[in-house]
Amino acid sequence: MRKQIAFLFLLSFLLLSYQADLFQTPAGFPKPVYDFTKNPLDSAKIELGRALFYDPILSHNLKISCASCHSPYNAFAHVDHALSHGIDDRIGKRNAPALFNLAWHNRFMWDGAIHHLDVQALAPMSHPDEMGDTLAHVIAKLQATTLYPSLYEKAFGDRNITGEHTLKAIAQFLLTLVSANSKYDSVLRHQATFTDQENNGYKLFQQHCSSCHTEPLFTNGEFESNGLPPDTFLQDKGRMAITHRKEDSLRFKVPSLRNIEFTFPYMHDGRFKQLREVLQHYSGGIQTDVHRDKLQRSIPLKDNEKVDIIAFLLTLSDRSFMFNPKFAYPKILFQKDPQEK
Amino acid sequence: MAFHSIISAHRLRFKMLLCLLLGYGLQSGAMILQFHPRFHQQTVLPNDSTRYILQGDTLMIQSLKWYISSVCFLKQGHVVWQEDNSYHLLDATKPTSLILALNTPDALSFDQVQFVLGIDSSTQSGGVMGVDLDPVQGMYWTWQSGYIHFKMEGISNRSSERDHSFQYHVGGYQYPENTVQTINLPVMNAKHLQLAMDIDELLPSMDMKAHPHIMSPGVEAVRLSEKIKSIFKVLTP
Ligand code: HEC
Ligand code: HEC
Repeated sequence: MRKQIAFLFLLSFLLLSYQADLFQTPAGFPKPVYDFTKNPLDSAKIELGRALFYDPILSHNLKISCASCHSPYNAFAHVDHALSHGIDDRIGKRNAPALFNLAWHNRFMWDGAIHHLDVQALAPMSHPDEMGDTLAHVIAKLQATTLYPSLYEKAFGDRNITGEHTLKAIAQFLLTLVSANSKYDSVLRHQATFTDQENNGYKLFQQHCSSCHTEPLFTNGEFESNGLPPDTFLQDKGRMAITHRKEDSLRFKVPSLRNIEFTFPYMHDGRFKQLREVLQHYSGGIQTDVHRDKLQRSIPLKDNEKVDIIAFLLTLSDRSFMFNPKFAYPKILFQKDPQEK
Repeated sequence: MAFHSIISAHRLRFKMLLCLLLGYGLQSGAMILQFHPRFHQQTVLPNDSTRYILQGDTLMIQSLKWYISSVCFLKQGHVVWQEDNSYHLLDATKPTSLILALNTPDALSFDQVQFVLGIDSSTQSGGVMGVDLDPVQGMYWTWQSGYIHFKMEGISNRSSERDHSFQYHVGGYQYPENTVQTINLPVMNAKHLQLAMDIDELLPSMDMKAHPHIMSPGVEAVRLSEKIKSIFKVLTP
């Protein structure tokens, strides 16, 4: 009996340390909200998810992959485009957000329309302006390749491709995208120091911005309004479209500011190209709104203070995240039969 | 899971072993719960040709699917048996999907059957699932997370759409737009329970002029779900 218990102990220890290899909660981060017990990480599943993420087979015209809009070199945000471009160059309604630290989110999209990371990929796959396909058709295409049935077998022990396995694999890859290695993190770990300017920017940030862009994730995970005047053409009501509650009008998911240097253009509609413009908005462009508790009016910031805040924001860049080979285009996709590409 | 779904050989073997061990007659499909979608007492088989007449309206039903979950039996108000992992997708075009085989113990005595129309909120927020709950079944909204609990589509003279189509996708699981309905029916103790689902009683509640297409959670979906709750009836015994 004792032996058995010891064995069980050892087994669970091994399992845990194996998981820790694939995913680690960075020091100082809260516990992830994603329930890993329902979809335990596994290297073959992550690898499959990575292949799916980079493979345009997920789109109807076989030209658009997740990475077309979420580029690894922009912390998985969309390069340059204000509104994301999808299939047949159709322009979506919103700017593609950066993808990292998703294990700490329980609502996805600017309005929180998606309530679980597992089902997130369904939205772009089926959206007529994005990848324009259906899950059933994507599965049929994957099943007909020479590559994928064996990858699914390795990952799930089943060559028969299902929607569940496809979505779980993509979610696993997304979960591994953890970014917590910026200069800011090094400073917290006492491995680096801020310049005076960065330090001053940090203080101002904590004073004016932290209530929404809360450390260490730099988002409080809530839906807030930061006083942007609504775009009369796009008519995007944000969170209200989902909850149908008036007080949610013009509220959007608070984006993390990690890697902000690379995730331009900014805001849900990509209206600002530069951080300077963002600071201009916070210090002079806030629209007042009765439903808001935070940010009732513009924040009085002097020009040098804006520059200092930007200097601080640039310490949130994590180059080791963006150039991590584990997140890059996977070699297995090169093994695909060229006819299937 | 549903009758037509494939039970893996492992699970079957495990169950057989369990039967032997326990010495009870725990058999697969000890009891049958069967649903009959009907229109004026006639079976509804969705297709592109059968026409139904209701109060001067001619209509066709092209698709009719719904989720039944959390099946259980009660005796004098107390639950005496409940199905594990109880999620079933019923599709009126697939008669086998309308027959739920339940692994009830032999000597079960009950006076009520209870089930849920739709998928409860804790399942909904638990991540992606397989078989009947696999989003590939087409009963999952893609742009906004959540299962479609009940789906009926067709053509009707009453529809204000140019092509006279109607589409009712009833879903939503969060207050106040919750469309998950619990249905409770008094029944006699029997091995084969047959329940009717009378679509002709539901149709007058579908406002095809103002809302020929309901495709998202909201007040209209809630109103319809309350009506759907009332169209289930006990046929036998
Ligand atoms: C055509 C461009 C495009 C493609 C292709 C695309 N996305 Fe997106 N993605 C977006 C946009 C735009 C949003 C924000 C949409 C919204 O808020 O309504 C988004 C949001 C997301 C989010 C939510 C992030 C958050 O913090 O809320 C995730 C996760 C995501 N996409 C993953 C994927 C995956 C996985 C794929 C491939 C299956 C994919 N995307 C394909 C444009 C795209
Ligand atoms: C009331 C909450 C709130 C406060 C306070 C706040 N923000 Fe924001 N911030 C938001 C929201 C919400 C968005 C997204 C708005 C949108 O896209 O409509 C946002 C977006 C941003 C973006 C663009 C991010 C991206 O990826 O597009 C930057 C940069 C930013 N904020 C910086 C700041 C700075 C600097 C401060 C302090 C001076 C600050 N914010 C204070 C809520 C807030």
